[in-house]
Amino acid sequence: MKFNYRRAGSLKEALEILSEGDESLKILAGGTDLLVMIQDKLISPGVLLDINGLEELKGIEESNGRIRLGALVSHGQIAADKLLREKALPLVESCGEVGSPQIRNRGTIGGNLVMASPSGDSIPALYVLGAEVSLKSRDGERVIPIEDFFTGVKKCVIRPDELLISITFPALGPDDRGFFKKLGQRKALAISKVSTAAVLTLRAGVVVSIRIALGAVGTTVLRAPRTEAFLTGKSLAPEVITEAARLCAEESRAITDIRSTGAYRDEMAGLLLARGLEKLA
Amino acid sequence: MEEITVQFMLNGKAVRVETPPAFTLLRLLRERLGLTGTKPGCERGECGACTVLLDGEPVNSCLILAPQVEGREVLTIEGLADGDKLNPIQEAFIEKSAVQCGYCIPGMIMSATALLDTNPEPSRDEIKTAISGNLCRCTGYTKIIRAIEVAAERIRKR
Amino acid sequence: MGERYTFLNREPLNLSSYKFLLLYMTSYRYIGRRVPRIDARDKVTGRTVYSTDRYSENMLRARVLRSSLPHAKIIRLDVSRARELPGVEAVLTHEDIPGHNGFGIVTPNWPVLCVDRVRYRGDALALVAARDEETAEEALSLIEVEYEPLPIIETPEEALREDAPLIHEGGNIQHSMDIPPKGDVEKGLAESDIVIEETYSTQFMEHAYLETEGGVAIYDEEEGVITVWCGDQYAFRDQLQIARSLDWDPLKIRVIGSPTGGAFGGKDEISVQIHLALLAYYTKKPVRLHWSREESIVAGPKRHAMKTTFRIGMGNDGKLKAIDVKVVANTGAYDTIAGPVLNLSLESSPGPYKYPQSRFRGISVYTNNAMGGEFRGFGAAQVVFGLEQELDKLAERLGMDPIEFRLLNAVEEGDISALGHRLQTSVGIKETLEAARKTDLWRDREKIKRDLNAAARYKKFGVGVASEWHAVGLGVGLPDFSNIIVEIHEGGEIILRTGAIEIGQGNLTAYAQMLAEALGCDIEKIKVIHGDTFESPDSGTVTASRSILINGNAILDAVKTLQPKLIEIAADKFGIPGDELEYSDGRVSFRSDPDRTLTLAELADHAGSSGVPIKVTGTAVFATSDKDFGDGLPHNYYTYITQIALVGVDTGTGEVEVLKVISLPEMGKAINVDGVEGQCEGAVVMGQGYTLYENVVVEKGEFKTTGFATYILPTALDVPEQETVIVEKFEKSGPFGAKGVGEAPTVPVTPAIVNAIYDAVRVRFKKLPITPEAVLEKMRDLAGTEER
Repeated sequence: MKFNYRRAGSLKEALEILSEGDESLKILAGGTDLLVMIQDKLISPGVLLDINGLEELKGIEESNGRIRLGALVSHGQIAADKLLREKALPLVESCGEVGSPQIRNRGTIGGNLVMASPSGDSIPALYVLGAEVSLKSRDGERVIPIEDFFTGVKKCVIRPDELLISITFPALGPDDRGFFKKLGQRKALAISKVSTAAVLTLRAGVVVSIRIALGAVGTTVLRAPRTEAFLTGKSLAPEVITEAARLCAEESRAITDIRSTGAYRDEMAGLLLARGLEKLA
Repeated sequence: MEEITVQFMLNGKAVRVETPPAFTLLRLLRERLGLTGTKPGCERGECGACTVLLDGEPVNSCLILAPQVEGREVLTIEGLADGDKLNPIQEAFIEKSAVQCGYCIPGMIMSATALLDTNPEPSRDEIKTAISGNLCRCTGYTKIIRAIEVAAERIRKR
Repeated sequence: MGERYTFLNREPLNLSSYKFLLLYMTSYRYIGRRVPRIDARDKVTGRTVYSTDRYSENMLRARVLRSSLPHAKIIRLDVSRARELPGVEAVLTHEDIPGHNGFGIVTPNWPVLCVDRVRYRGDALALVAARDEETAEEALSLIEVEYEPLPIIETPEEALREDAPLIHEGGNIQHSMDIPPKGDVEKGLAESDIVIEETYSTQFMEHAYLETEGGVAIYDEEEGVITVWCGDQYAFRDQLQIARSLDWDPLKIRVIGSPTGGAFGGKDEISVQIHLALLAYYTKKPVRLHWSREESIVAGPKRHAMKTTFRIGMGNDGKLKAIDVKVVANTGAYDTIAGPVLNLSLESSPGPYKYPQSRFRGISVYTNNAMGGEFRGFGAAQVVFGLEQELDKLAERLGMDPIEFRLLNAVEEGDISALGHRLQTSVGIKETLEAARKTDLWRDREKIKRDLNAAARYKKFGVGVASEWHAVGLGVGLPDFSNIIVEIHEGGEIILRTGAIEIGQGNLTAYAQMLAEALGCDIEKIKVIHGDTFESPDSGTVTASRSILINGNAILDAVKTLQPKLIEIAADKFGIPGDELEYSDGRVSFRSDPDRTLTLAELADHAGSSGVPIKVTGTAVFATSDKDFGDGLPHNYYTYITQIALVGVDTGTGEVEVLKVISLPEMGKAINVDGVEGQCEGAVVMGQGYTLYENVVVEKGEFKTTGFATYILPTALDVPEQETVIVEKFEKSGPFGAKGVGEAPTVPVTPAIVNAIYDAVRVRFKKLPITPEAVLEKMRDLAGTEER
């Protein structure tokens, strides 16, 4: 590997540098994806800008029922956080299974988002939590709903002069339930073949509302609107769950690659939903 | 490419060393600091042979750049023994025959060290999770897991 | 004392003396115990220096330019721009090879550097040595190659077609073997009450040692000596292969191969050695080469992909009557050791059972796929996967218990094997089956399954069993020997010199145990100098599960030579005749006054002061079979093993979890109990990987598997609980009764898992690896069939 190294001393400095428009400059956060891409010669940046010192991008807080995660919060920090376990369980479950302990200690939630891999495990969880992403440039700031953030495989709307600062979402309430399930080729160090996340509000055993997101089965993470519509207003009886799984499999759009087949992934998207719902029934 | 200077705490001692900016911590340790105990197995963060502790946390040193350890604390396999006195994890690995070719072992022991520093009474599942990022091709993990269990018991007794 | 060991080694035993020895044997100080490994301390402190840990001032970094295409003519190769890059000290092509441009354990047709043709993606075209990695990398990109693509052959079927392009001038069949038939197999099958036929296919497998191939070389111009440190299995053969390519006196090539970070058969062949030697010779500087993980996967040898067809005939009484086996191996571009691998797969294919009639035929075929070569198991895993399922099917046809069926057909010492050779060494297959039958897991399997099924919402559980016999040693007709040197230095330090390399199996510790036991000294006094062609004698390669047996025998031979020498030295010191002295437990003492003794240290001091230090060489040669079918067939020693697996199949996802595996190996005598367990435990996980996860995916000669993200090894969270039950059956010609155990435990675990899956969900598999996708599909097919 051959590149220069710069360290951003402050957010202001980082945004200033980004506004210079040097195309050979890449942001270094956790490095667990970036350095691999450089080693694999998929990219060859001239300089890496290390943003790990930026305090504005750290921290896990709740205020007014809304949770804020700094972009630099690691998977490991999320997995270990008590507040998040209580009020954002799908995210804790997804981050707790990423890679390995070593990867979880370095990989960041912001990095996961910017890499925009459809099999990035935190993303389906953020979908069902209804997250919003804050992007900042020297000259402005914008907030993007997570479902508008991704445009394709490894593509998102972040501009070259922007930094992803934070992610926010409403904390789950007492009637809310959520889960995240993934299937990989093994139980650790596994890129997902398919993942299913859901957040639902249950009252008197009836689904008041539900959001379902599917990972690794499309060019971006997908919602499953027909399945959601079907489940809304119903109780989680076995035949309801079975039909929901079937619909969910239909809404999945998986391809075949070295890890698995499209047909298997589609079916498993539904199966994982069923298993998550069965636990709550 | 011009080299830069990095200053950090390494195995309890302050060091100052010149390095190309694009060197990983792994290469820095092995090629500039003479510490070859930390091993390259894949250089992609997929095997854990290069595991060291960075501020107490296990990380793949192949995915840390040398300049990133400025002002931080790094602990490698060479930093565990106290002269000739091995620590309980090292002793247990020897006693329980958890070592075969030995190449994955430094990384394993570092992951085990981090585990027992934060969780003195780990369950078997917690042990397995702690080393789930360390691949071993020789042992099947059985005696490694046992060695960590035994080490945990002994550390607790002290 | 010394006589005891002669007795063990040389003379046939009658039953009463065998029992006596059994009693005697339990009083060993080191043999059969859990002795901590002598190299463990350095390994847990990071002090062990592997070949790839060597760095020095002015050390150059090397890189290899490999082919961009799986099959092509090389029209033009221009390294001039690379040579001009500042910081580059050498760029070598085939023109720079002084000697033979080829290597290969059996046939040296694997090019050191390609001349006019590339035959697989890992083929090497040029070498670069530069001042640092980045410069070497850049130099590679400046090398210009013009190819003319040739048609790509992926499978043996394609290679055997009439119109298939020839990968080698002599044709696409690398090796064929037709073992002289035993009896008349067609007649045997015709006379059988039940005949089954099936074809099985297996994938290429990657060794995936944690330390990839690599090392360092230096050239001492003054002495004319080239030294190579590299991960290795046989330094002495490397010496010859390097010498042949550099046109160099082999005695002026020093190879140091120990310690190695895992080998499993993948480091017996040349990898970096000749490249390093060439670069060191031309640059006159230390050169380092360390393969990347991707390079290791693409360029290095793999376990062969094979297709095996079985036809097996049986009587209604459950006795096997006939077996006809055909193996087609995909061997990739070059020979390496493919012939012997094919031969051993044929030899392993009937399993440790009796068949009056048999026929074994196989071919090994060139393709442009991955390189088939030496891999732990050496052809057995591929065929036993199929055989042990066929046997379960036969047992099921008769409603017989799988272990009972195997016991009914198992061989015993003195029997004629399925191949037609006499089993003249210890045979413990029945003992392993009987021991398996007695395990809790087997005895209570119905209850265990019932309880697990009741407690699990989505899983069904099953238990399966399988056995194999695994050849130990290189076989008849191949040089299979060992030399060991034992020295005793002043002060009492004992040096054991062996060319054997520590690849992780713990052989050095076992040698120290055997020497300490035979000599009657403390193991702490022994230092093992290993794997260095200048500092240790040729002990043969560490492969074929051979190194305990053959090196152990050489050690005992050395001790046998040593003892009279020690008595001689003592006699000289006291000025008395030797027959007034005797040797026992590390001391020479007066027969008339046993308390008057000389320790080894005192003996060594005296020898040193008289100018003749104590040094002896022990040798051993593998005893061979009474038959000779060529190229190492057949073998004379076998390890026998039964394994039981408990699995849980997720009926919704198709995932297979292996909960527990019990290994019951019979390897004569366990020298180091921890060592045997360690070999079994690691081998089982390797087998689990082969069965469920691992696959080297190559499409049209292009590798889709490039690293650990795509080549899936089991992690600590994926592996079963394990138990090892050591079954001992004294082998009279083995050291302390020992044979070997390095490979056997990696083989039957595969069909044990597959048989367990069948037990759980009633589906069988003819193809590996068994992915969840495949399991689900089979379960669906079955459900569909059952509905109809």
